[in-house]
Amino acid sequence: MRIFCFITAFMVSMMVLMECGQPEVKKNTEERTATTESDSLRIDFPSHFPKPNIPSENYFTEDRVALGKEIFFSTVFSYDGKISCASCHIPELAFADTAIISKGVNGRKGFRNSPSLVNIAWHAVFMLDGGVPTLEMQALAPFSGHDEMDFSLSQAVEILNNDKELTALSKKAYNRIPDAYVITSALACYQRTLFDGNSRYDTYVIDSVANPLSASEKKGMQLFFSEKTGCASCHGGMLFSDYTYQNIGLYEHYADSGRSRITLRVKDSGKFKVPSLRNVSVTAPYMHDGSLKTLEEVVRFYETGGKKHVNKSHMMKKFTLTNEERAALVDFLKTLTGNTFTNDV
Amino acid sequence: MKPIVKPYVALLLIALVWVSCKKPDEPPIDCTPPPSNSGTLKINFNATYNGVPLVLFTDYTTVENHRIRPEELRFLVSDMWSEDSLGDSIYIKDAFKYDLAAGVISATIAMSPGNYNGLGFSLGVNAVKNHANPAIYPLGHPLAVGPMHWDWANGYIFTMYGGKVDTSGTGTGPLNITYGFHAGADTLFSPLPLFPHAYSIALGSTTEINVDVNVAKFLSNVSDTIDLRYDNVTHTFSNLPLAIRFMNLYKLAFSIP
Repeated sequence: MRIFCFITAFMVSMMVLMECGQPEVKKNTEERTATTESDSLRIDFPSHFPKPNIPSENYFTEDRVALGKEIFFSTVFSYDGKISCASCHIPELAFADTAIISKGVNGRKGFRNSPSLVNIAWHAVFMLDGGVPTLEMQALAPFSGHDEMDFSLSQAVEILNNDKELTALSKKAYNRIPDAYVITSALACYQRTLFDGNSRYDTYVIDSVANPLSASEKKGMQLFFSEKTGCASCHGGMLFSDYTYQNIGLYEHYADSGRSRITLRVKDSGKFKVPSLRNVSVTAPYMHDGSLKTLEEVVRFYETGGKKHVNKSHMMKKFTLTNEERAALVDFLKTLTGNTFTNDV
Repeated sequence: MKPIVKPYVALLLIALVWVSCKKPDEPPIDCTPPPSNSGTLKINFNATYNGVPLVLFTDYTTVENHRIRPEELRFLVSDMWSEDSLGDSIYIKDAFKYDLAAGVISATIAMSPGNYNGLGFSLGVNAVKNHANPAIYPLGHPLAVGPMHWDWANGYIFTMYGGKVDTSGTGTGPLNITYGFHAGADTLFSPLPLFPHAYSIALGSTTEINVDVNVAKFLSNVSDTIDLRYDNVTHTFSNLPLAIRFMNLYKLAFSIP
């Protein structure tokens, strides 16, 4: 019996010692292997919208969206520690701002009105002058912009790498520690989840009987799509924008050269990307410089046909509306505002 | 041997065999780099001002007798190439970012041993590189995110040259004009012809080539002079004609003595 116990104990000891000598086995429970498309998150975009622009390499995953959201709302990536993306792209304002020109760090002002980020997934190019070709690259500008966050991406990378939770999230999301690629990709991934296709106009389009528009709104809709106003010439389609660059004759002499700032072509002077009119009732003030405060002002401007400018679009034509028609047009524009500005995943 | 003991002996033997079959400890990682089968080419971009080494925040004199104090000099070169002994072109480096203030003035390139002729490179980056996403490069790469990228315009600043100037002509007036030439656009991309220069690369050793960058020529040569009294700032998109003039002068400032 003693021999039996001794031998058993000896064998167990040997086996325990063996195990202790083995190198540590990496556990995969915390550090997953590379994210693959099989991990992708299904996003239910509005079925009546066209297909959004989603780059294949930055498909949606829960981790990517979560990381992007963290960064989007974080103020640590700004020179004064007070500005985040959400400072100028306020969720309840369809991710736009009420300021004519939003303020960045230390109250510095840029020179353009903050555009809405809702439905950004459908944009082909970014910035009002189309200077940036992808949403992934768009984040670089506000990060480094002196009048915006005035922060270097290398500093942002350092901050993230010092945050254990966000570093872990980065590894889950992109299988790498935080770097410039992760930051910009995650931000883009999150922003693409900001869509809204359930405005009153949408519900009307889906079922006009169950979700009727008022008489005034219908009248406004007819005017909007009429040749008389020509609104739909540029603000057409389900996104209410064709995303072309147009000069509408807002000024005879533009302080902001618009598209020509990028192309360096004189014929592009004063042209800006046509914005979507979705959520327009909460994204005042309007125009690239926020110079028009209300929708009525905007409609009245268009009635003038715009000021003289060599690059003014030929589609800009003078027309006349009665007060009632103007009000109806504004009523219709208000039906383009939905009630979902975030898409929690 | 008693029957009751036999199984335990067998188990003990099994255990001993198991132990002996344990993988031997892996040899320690050898940090010694493997034997090199290449040499090194070190290209020194030596900024000068008419033959005198350029030192930032030091005063020099322009052709108009203006006192000029350069404070910033950065530039991108790309698509560096040479010719091997058979006369074939070989691509040796994709991009290099020069930054005088940071002391980054030399590009180091691993090359196969042999005889070579000439050094060619381009000022700025071609359109493909110019519109790539800088976030794909690791921090520290010449084309990574940083101050030489116009994030809002999706392109690189090929050259950043700036400082202050006293245009009084007395040499003792105030340095009250800030000048800055930030040039970068696809149309300004400038491949330079091959500079003839024979050199050899030996295994495990470094060969140096010195490229003179005469900063005085950035603003003046026989064909044009940029007078800082009148033309002192361009960020390309804000003043393309001046950016073009600057680049036309700038690309003639490089030479291999």
